[in-house]
Amino acid sequence: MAIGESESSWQSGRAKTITFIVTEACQLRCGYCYIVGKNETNRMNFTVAKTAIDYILRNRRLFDESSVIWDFIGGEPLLEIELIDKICDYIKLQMYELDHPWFNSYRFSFSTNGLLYGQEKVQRFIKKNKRHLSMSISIDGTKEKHDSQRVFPDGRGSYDAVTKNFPLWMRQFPGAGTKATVSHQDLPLLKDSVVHLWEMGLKNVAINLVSENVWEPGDDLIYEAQLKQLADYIIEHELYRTHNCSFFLKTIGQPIDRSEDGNWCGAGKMLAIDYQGTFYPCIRFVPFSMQNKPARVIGNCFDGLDLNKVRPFLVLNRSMQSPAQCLDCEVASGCAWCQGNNYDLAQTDTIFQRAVYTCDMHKARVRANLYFWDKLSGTLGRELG
Amino acid sequence: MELDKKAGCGCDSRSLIGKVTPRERDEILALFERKNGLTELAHSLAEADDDVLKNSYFYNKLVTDMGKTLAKYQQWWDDQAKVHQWEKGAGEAWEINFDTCQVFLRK
Amino acid sequence: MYKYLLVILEKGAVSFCHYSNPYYHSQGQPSFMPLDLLEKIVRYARDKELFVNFLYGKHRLPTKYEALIDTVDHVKMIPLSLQESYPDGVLVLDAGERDAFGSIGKNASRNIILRVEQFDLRQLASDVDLLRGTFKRLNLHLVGIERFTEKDIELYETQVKAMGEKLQQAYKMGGEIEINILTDRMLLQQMNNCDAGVKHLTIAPNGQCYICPGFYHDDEAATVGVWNEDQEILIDNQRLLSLQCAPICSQCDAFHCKRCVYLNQLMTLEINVPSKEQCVLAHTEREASRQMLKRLRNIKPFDMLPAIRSLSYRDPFEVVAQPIGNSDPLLADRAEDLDVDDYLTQIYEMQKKILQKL
Repeated sequence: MAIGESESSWQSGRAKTITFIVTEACQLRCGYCYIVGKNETNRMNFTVAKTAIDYILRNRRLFDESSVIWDFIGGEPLLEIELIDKICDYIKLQMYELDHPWFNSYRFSFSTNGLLYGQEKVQRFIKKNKRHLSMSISIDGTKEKHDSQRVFPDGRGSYDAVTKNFPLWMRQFPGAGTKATVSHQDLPLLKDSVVHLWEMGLKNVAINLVSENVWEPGDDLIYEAQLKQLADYIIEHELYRTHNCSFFLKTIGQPIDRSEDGNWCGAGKMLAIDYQGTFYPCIRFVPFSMQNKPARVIGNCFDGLDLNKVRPFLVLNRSMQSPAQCLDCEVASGCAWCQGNNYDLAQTDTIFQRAVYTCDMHKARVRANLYFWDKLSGTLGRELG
Repeated sequence: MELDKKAGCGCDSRSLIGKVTPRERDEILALFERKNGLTELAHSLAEADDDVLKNSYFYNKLVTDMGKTLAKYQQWWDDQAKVHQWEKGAGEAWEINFDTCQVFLRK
Repeated sequence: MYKYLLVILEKGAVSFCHYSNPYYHSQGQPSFMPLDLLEKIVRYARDKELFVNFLYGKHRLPTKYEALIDTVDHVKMIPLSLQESYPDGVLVLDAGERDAFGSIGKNASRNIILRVEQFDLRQLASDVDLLRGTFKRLNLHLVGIERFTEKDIELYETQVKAMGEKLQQAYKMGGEIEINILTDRMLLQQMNNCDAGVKHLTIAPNGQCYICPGFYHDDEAATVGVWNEDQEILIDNQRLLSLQCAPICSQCDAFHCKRCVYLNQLMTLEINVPSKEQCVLAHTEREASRQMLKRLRNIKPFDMLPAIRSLSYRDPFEVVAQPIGNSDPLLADRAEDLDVDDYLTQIYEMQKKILQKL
């Protein structure tokens, strides 16, 4: 994939994503993690998962998408690989037995810290479901950057423990991507981290800023400088045809016409299920993700989905949650937000108020993008001579 | 016949031989997905308790389904090859890129 | 900013709208709003030329309170038990009190509010019949909508149609009575909503302000601030109370709907998004108004009123919401990606009659 191209999501984003929060435990204590209360107690059991699956598969009217992504998350999902294995077996069996259309179009998706990837139980699961698996390992970049945030409880970095599983992972999932995160402290390491990931063989790097408000004055300038250094590196080493980094997109930094009023985030269109079988519009609305607000429940696997609670998410648009400065912004396109984070920070208990503290960071990214595309077009122009 | 999703996966011993319509792509994609689903369901059943395996109706249904799916799958390639006049030799295989609808011959 | 105030005179004050007051039926001595607080509120209202709706409980007020209230432009919202004490008040009735409707004096110029619960729906049309002659304008409010089922909505529709037919007859005979859920939509050209928190604010006996009494009775902690005569109360995210920030309502023409923000919050957890039940009920009423207007077309003044257009949906959410996924590949794919023959074939399979028509 060349620079600037967006990774096409499976089924072009039309699949229903159903997320099982199988555990709230994790071996790591990442500095930027939105989970504020990791624990070993809250673990999903098979009965809850089965009830949820039965409800979902037997209510086709409510879940009428042509495809499904069964997503497993935690905490660290691979801590519960035996449960997940049992759940996936049940899902496959039920989809087949019910002659559900999803049997012909499903995926199992994982976002993992990678520590248990090489474990025998995990490998057995992968082998059994290989053709339907999407497995993403989170690595933040260089050892220095990764170990500054992704740490064990005793403060040790996890880079070595994670990367020892890399060769196996990349062999099993060629073309797989990683999920890298950048926070305030590790901004100065951004460029080297992207390059490092490329050098590891991950040509397609999805890297994002944390969505929480961790930014301090001056961060935008550091961010811009790092992206420009990365831009120079890409052009100097002619990586623009073969490597990709999600920071550089052709489509960002344009004004958005007021008629284009869709919401950025898919919360409400997906479904997250916690260990008790409670339904949420996405994982960022569950109790352990909230610092200021009550969790936002939209039903449970026993009583079903409360469509009235889902309703606001399906009518939420850009104009009714964004302040005027955003609606009139000349470089608005590509400015992202997290609905759960917005809700947690809003003045009232509403999803209709957008947090705007990422404004300076977005504009920094836009400036860096302009620099890159301008320089690249000059370079390509010279190449064509 | 192996099917892969993306072009440029590091395998460069293949040549472009044609393109199918999106509707035709959807047909083979559905068969491909079903074939994979049946195969992996069989893996799960193989590990399952005896009670499930003892349900011979279910197991037989799966086997029959797999046979039918593979037959349709093969038929699709045969039909397309006839229409487009594709040929392949021993050890060669046709591949389709589901994103672009392009068909390749892998040597 | 605010046009009027709602003042709850005691904790057990009558519910005059969609919300319920769990303290209304409480026994024991009433706990009135402190007199000094009431004095400040009345003085404020006079100074700012604000109208005041006073919400009474079952207990007659002490004389000092009554004298104070009479010094400001106001309306009294009173339960049936106080109709003798305050004959000029707006009577708030529960349909369950139908056995006592006969005690209501005939009065062709009065406003009456009738609150109707789920179990009262079956008798709605006959309850309204019982009240004939006692009102000029009847405001019907459904209570407990959050518990309504599809069957309740169907029952409501039947009752509203029956009421519509009788009202239509009354209009043909020259009658001038109004029933909010049937009359209003015929007359309105734009939204006429409750506008709680926008046009009016509620002050409770505890001295706190609320968007409406429903919020107070549900949870005293849901205050928008302590009432202060020196400082205007600013409600956080007040824009969400306005029509412009209501994604469904801003595109709806059920103009008579109250857009009850209390029910919105209760049922969808968002103050600017109504529940399906609210929308369907409002559109049931809208349709009844539409039918009635159609049949009154040859009578003045109904001949002057613009027609209400027919709709194919009962819930405007269906035309406003963003699609969830799309299982229709025809619509999901870009046209440039489709083979022309495939495109036509898929259209034909979706609409076989097209070719016949062609």
